[in-house]
Amino acid sequence: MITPQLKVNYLRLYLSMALCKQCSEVVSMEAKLVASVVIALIIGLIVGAAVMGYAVPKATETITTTVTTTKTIAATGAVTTTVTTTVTTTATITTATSPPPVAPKFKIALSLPGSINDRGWTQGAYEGALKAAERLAAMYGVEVSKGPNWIKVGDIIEIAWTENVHPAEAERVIRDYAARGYGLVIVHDYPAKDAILSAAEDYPDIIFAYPTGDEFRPNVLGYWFWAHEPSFLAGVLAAKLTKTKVVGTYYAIPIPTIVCCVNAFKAGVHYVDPTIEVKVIETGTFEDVEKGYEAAMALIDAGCDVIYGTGDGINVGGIQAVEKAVSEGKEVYFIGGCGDQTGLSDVVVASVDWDASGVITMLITQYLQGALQGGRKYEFTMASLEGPRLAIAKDRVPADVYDYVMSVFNDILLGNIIVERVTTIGE
Amino acid sequence: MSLEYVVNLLTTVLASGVRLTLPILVAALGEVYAERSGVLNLGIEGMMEFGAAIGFVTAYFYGSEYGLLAGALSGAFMGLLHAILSVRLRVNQVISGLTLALLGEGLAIFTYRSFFKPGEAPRVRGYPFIEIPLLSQIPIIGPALFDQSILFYLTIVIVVIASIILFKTTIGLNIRAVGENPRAAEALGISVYGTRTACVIFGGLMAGLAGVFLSVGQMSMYYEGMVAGRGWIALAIVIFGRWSPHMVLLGSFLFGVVDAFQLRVQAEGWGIPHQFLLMLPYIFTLVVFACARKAVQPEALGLPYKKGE
Amino acid sequence: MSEMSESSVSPINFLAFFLRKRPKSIIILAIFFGILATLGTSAIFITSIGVDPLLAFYCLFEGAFGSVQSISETLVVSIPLMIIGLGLSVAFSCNVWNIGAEGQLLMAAITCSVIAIYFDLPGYIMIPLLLIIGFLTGAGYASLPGFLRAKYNVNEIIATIMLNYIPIYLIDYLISGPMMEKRHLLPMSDLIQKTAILGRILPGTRLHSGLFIAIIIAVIIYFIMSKTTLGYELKASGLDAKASYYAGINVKRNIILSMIISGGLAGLAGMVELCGVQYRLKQGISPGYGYTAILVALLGKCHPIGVVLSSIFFGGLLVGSDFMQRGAGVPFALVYVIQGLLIFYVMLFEALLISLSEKV
Repeated sequence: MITPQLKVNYLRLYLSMALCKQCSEVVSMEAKLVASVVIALIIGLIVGAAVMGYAVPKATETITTTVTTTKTIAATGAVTTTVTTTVTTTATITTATSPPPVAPKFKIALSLPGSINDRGWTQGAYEGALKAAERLAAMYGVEVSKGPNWIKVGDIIEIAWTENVHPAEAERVIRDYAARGYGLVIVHDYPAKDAILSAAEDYPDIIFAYPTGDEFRPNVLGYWFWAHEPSFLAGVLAAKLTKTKVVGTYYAIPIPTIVCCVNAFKAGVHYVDPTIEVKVIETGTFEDVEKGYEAAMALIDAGCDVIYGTGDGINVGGIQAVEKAVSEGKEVYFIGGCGDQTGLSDVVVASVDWDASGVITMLITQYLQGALQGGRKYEFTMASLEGPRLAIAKDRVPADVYDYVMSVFNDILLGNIIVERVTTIGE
Repeated sequence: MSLEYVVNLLTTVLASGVRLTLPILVAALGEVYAERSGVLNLGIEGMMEFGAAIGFVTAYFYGSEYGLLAGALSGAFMGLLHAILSVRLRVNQVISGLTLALLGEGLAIFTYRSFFKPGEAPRVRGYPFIEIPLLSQIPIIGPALFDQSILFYLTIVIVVIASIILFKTTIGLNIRAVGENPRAAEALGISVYGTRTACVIFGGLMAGLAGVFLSVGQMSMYYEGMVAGRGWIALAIVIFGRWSPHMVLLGSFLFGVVDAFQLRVQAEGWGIPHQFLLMLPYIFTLVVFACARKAVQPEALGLPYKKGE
Repeated sequence: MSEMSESSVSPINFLAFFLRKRPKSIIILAIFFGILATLGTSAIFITSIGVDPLLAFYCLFEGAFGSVQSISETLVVSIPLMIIGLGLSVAFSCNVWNIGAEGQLLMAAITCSVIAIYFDLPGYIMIPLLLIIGFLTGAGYASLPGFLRAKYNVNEIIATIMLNYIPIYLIDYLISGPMMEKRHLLPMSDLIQKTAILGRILPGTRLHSGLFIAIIIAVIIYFIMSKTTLGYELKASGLDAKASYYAGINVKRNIILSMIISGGLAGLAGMVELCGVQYRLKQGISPGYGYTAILVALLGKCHPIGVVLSSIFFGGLLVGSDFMQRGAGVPFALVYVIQGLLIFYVMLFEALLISLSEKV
């Protein structure tokens, strides 16, 4: 590296050269000539590369569209014919990339705050896009092809996404997608609200969507999924399962949808038994799996025997903590969140499944059907078709507990019990 | 607050603290050697992430022991790159380190995703826990120190050996000499380039090992971004620990325990806002560090050395 | 000069000679070769996942400088990098390693947001006031580690790293509590007053008047560092503290001063980001600008002109590689790899060229 000492040396050299102009001129006459030729060559190379970049033809794609239909006719009393179209969705990575020579008619973009592997929020959006693609592929009878950050359905629909979009970069990403002609831009991150509203003015023909939004434009819509009701149920379940009369929950950052889950959980616990203590931890991070483990451990050490985890990576850690406790003979249960995490481990008795995937799927399919409207909010509650729900692993809870929870579930649906949405932490 | 309650609090917080300490400690140990020889390695974070990913992938396909090896070797490889750049070619150590941090993170995720599709949640078998029969029954400190993963005991052994080598052997003396006054060391016949290269590779190896400890050892899985800033903490701990392995042990333990403590305080619900408790480990470390002020930084730390100058 | 008698002009010797005479060309050549090498190495990664490398590189350049939109985006990223980088170049020249620019930036964003949101002041008072507050906050937050270093020789690296975490959690506390928006819906503050906004100077783009602030600061820092006694003393303290002390230079004061200047500029960057890009206090004000600026300053050789150029270079790199994701389908992990490779190779070639130029 250029040390300060070297700098001073070069400085001296420059000074002497400047003072001794004649010397340097005589000496480097040929040198100057050769130098200018070399520089010209280098510039020529750069220019050539740039020109080449422009002139390079876009590589061609080879997507084969295969249609496989199987008709099964089932007759049960009244004759009913069911036609099922089965499509094998193989992850074929095509040799070329987007955009293909035949531009897809419909392009949808997702701007994601995290990684699609986060077992939670962002992964939910990704799975929603995947589900939508598979359903559409079935409908149109074409194949789904996947790339590192895009999914194509035949050559009709393209769903692309960008991961780890920081709120400061959101506007750039959104505008880029808009400029590329993506008709629906879903920004799965509420801090990007300002970015969306600003971009929406410049691109009135494009629909923008963002979560927990209630500032709209004709082409901006908000989608909400309120997980407070399933969290209430989770609280009810926890209250029924706990033997120590102490339960716990933890979250990463107090964003409103999570805060109302925590509050609803408390309400659910106290609905069953007001004397049960609910302990709360904030970890400050979504991805620190070990922190989640230690947070859950802290809750267990403080006496909790049911733990409700509300976030992505930290849930994974929390599950492991509960597994450890169970292996030591303690009776501890874990209720997952932000996705159906019952599949992750046996200690997860239930999971508040936000079903971000359902929301995203719905948004995409509605858009493609031309039914998506801007200027309003789409709310998904427990009563909605693809809304958040409490997924219970039936075989892991006692039957009477399950029945009780289901009765409360029905009460909520019928309106007998109203779960409040409280979005501020009130301890 | 009963005595039993306090004892339980202390016991569990200490045990949790030891677990939190481990990856930071391992990474910091390697950095101690690197910095003692005069080279700053700011790439620990990326090397840890890289080791975590490579170690996990290897463990998944070939078994957890090979995962450990693979993690360490991948870290050593990055250490080698850092050594070439900053020792041999005298590139500014800060740039070299930061660049490798960036590279490490990118390569980690790229490697992981080359093997596992999104949505998969692969797990591997971790390492065995060892419970020392009598000692683990000691109140308060028993479970924390004597009922831990085998990795913990391994790390303690490494700390002891590292401390002995650094302060009681000729090798350690050479390393310290190179870090204090490379010119004089060269004149005495010690190869500055060789010593520094070896120490930097060791630093990278330990960083990669720390990553595997975290992913395979403690969590039995890999999660993108799971290192979550531990690399930077390790850097600070090295300075906190005055560049000596046993002090680094104390420093990382302090940090881990305070972190575990603040989580527990949150759980107990004593009314302090969560975010202030989250700040606690950092403030505490800084205050303790500022109070004990003797600075014994290796003189030549961060300065490139040219042979024969 | 001895070179006058040089008769054999082999290419290597000529290159060495040329590099000695024109040392500034080293970094330019290094960037050129670095770009080539990065393209070559990353082409391997890119093709391995089935993406067309030429398309990817075309997108990289197009995204960085290929259109008005791209250039404006590059500049938007360059502005905070430039401001912080200039401050860090002052600190690094004084051998003071301020790793806390991120924290200083965020602290200033906090204090500026308090004024900018809740006080209705006319524009000609508001903006200068915010500039002053931003600078003072950052300077003040940096003066603590500076003081610890000067008085007690407490290592500033660890002090600044630890202090970086505090404003992060402080912001979290404020935006979900006292400073939460009026509707109490989302954890973010209200919008700043209209008079506090640094307006966009190029319609249709995000380029804001923070650019002028950055350029003015570049000129000021250049002036201070090369034309004033203060600049000379700061650099001397950095080069050799003992010699400077014996020459009568107040090294301790210079240490604190360089921390204050770099912290103040980081704080200014925080104000610029708040008022020019974000318009409210929320999570994620800065995607790590304080850390990237370290690279920017060092790559720019801690010289104001170098920092300006390298901040634009980094801006182009970050924006262009982000563009690659959408234009060519390159996964984001590879984007990090390409960014790292580029800096790696540039450093590699620069070091090789320097050692070549020293070959006598």
